[in-house]
Amino acid sequence: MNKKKLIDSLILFTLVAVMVYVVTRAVLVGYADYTGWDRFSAIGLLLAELFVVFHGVGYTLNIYRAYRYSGGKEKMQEVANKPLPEEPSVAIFVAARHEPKEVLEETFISIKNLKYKNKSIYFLDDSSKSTYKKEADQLAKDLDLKIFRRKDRHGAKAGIINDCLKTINSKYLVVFDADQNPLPEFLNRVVALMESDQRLAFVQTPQFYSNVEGSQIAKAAAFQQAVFYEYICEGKSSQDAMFCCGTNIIFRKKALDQVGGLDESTVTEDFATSFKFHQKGWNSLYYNHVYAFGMGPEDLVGYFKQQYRWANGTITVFKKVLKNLILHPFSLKIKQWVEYLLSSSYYLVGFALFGLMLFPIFYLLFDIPSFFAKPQVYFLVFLPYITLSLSIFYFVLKERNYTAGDLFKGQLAGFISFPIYLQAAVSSFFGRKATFGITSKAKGKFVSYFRLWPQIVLLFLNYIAIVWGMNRFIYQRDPAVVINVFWAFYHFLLLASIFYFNERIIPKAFLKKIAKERIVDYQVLERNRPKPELNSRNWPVCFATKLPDRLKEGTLLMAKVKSRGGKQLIFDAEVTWASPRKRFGGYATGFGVAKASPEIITQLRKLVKK
Amino acid sequence: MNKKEIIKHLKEALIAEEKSIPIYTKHLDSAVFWTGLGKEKAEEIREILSELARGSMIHKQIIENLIKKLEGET
Repeated sequence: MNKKKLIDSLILFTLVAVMVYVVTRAVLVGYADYTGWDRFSAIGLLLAELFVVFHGVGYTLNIYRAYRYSGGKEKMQEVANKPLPEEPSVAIFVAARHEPKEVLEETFISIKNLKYKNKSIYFLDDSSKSTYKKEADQLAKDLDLKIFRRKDRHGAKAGIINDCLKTINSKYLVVFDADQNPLPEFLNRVVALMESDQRLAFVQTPQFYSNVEGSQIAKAAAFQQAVFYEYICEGKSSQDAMFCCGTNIIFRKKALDQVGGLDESTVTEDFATSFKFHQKGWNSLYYNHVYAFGMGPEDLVGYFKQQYRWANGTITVFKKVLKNLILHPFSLKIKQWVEYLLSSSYYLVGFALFGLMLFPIFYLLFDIPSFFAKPQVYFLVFLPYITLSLSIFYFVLKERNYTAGDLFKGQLAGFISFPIYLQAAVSSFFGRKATFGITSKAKGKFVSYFRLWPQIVLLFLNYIAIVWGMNRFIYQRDPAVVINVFWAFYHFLLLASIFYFNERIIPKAFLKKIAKERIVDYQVLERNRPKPELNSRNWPVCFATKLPDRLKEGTLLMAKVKSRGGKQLIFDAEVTWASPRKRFGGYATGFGVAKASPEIITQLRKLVKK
Repeated sequence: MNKKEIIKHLKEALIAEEKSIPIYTKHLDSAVFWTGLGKEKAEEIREILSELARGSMIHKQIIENLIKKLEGET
């Protein structure tokens, strides 16, 4: 049996198993004899499970479509590779507000390197602080960029894009986030695709995080993205329901003009605008080829902020989708409605996760049943459903080089975000575009555990439920108690990952050390410089050592280090990280080598050890 | 092509060596992570990438010297 047939069979069996499970569950709840709290618990759990099943089936069908239409990918690649007879005009927008100069410089250099002549690069500077404005002006001057600023702030990123859009006449508009670095062929490929179909409103390409090794949460976020950008987007594209993801995207200006620009009523303006495009009869395409690299959130604060924004905006669009479904049911095809309902309701997952965690606790602590099935029936219908669903998820992603362990990390990160999703959903229901409460002044700072109280409280409740459940089992010998203890334990483990993700980030490279005896001398060249980005990739060599003095982060110095052969290596280094406490005779200090000859870099690389 | 133009092109090449190449090297290095290649193979590719980065630093120095030489000539 070839792989395609195997996947087809797996999908079929999974869908049958899901149907059997759902019908059994619904019948059992329907026939159950319950009291007030039982009823609440039973319906709550059933709804949570139905939500998971609805999205699980949607995902499975997307996998099926991605496989079914895999031949189309080759044709798409052929079209994308076709040289253009003439290059239509393209405007490239990068909107930024208070972004570090180094990040913007990399973005604009890679945009300037795009092998496409007929392009104009616009720097949409939305900064209000004068230092950032000055930096933006300098960058625009150095790299010959067109700078655009607005007088009245409205609609955040969508607002400034809409304002600038009114001033241009290009056929296409490309949008990049401030930290995205496209590869030189990006425009040639996406413009060729747009030129091949005049009904295409936009072509979306994947977002690819290249800081996967920066932290555990960066890795988890990258794997979450991977799950989305692989089969889900391909499946949605096959249903002509792919939506814009805000960056690495090309729009047809005519289409944008027709829908009145980007939708400013939500923080996920891209998603809301896609809905408008499809309602107006425009098509969309997802081109699954990585042509741009970016940075994912590196700490829990950044990750939670990102998830909050996406959840809040998407649920706002969910309300619009529902309203439109009732008022204008024929404005989209059925398959598009299904995909939009799936996409826009996804972030309600916070309620489902909360419910799934709560009901085993209710059962173990207060003896409130919610499942109403004998353990034998539970195993008979639940095990095939869960085993097949998980197998298909991990199997198809393994096909694209993702390991089960890494994907699980992505799922863990989603799981511990349940309070964020709940908060975002509640804010959205009340029509608030509120921002997420936790703030961090610097990258790599961990979140106080007082701030993570919902996760900690549930962790504690699960722990009590497990202990009490085990106690109950000893006296009652009821297999239902074991099943619920299993779920409480599983949730306890998932929640405990909050400690794994909430780390103080010291990049691996900084753990490489040079013995303090090797430091012959050092001389401070410049103090009071801005704190550098704590990213090991910014320097050819990074290391840590102990110094007798405490140096501030950002300090530039000239160092003399003794090599293995006894030679003196002289180089400039920047303090990237410094411990505030003196321990074992010195202050632990991290360095990035700022200026050194290639020979010295080679020698230093040999010298640093883990 | 006169001396001024050569210097201008050399300065552009210097920017490419100094700024562009590290950007792509950084991203390609992380892309290796996603390839699903074995540890040894991935390490081999990373070593080649860092060799290219080192090569780029040498190119940068050569261009800098060349610019200095040309600017120094009367």
